[in-house]
Amino acid sequence: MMRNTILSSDRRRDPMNISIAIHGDAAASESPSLALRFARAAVAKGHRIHRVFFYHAGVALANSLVVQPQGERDIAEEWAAFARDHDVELAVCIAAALRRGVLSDDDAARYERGGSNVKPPFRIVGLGQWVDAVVASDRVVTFPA
Amino acid sequence: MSRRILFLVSHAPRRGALGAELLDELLIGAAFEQRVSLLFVGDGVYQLADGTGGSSARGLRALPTYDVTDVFVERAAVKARNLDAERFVIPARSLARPAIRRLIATQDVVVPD
Repeated sequence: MMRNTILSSDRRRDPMNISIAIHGDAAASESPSLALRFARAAVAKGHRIHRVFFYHAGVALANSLVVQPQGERDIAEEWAAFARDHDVELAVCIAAALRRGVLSDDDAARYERGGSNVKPPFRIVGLGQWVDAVVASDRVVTFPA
Repeated sequence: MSRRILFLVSHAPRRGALGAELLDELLIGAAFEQRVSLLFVGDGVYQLADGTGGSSARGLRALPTYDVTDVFVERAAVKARNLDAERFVIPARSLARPAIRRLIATQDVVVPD
């Protein structure tokens, strides 16, 4: 059951490599904001966020065409800033992104679409990068939609 | 390194591409030689009973082809919904709650749907 005590330090004092999966979009779910709180807490405790993997509706965070009303939180921008500050990789599943209209320059050219819309530093990657994160991390925490 | 990854399905089917995407993730895990398994709990058991060809039912039928055979289902959830396990789209081992707890405790990663 110690696996459930994700951040408690009594069993393990060593810093951990943690990967996060985000399955929901900020417009319809708390998944990205809860995950960000978790990531900030983990970093504050000395752990490292290895990779954040955006899947299902979560890929919408990488859509640079999304505009938040003035005065409302922009979770995607907060994730981008967090990634820059802590050298965290924001990985977006290509299949889920294509399905939801989030296209890199390469994809826009390949599928002959009018434009690309991936917000840096989000990066479009294959699903294999999720498995790679699972293998490389001490913990993987998923935030469902 | 091989990790034990459990995909935990608790939602009913017919959620657009979500069921198929979960199975994509599971199959990629299997293809990269991770020890994947699949557990249906609560309303998730309806995915096993979905004989009408939803996208997840089609994907589930393909699992044995990829040597994914560790498929489990919550016994009480099947009983509470009066479903017939004989008619599930793929065979699933029926587990009582304590066995489910033990299954989850042995995993490295649990992926909810």
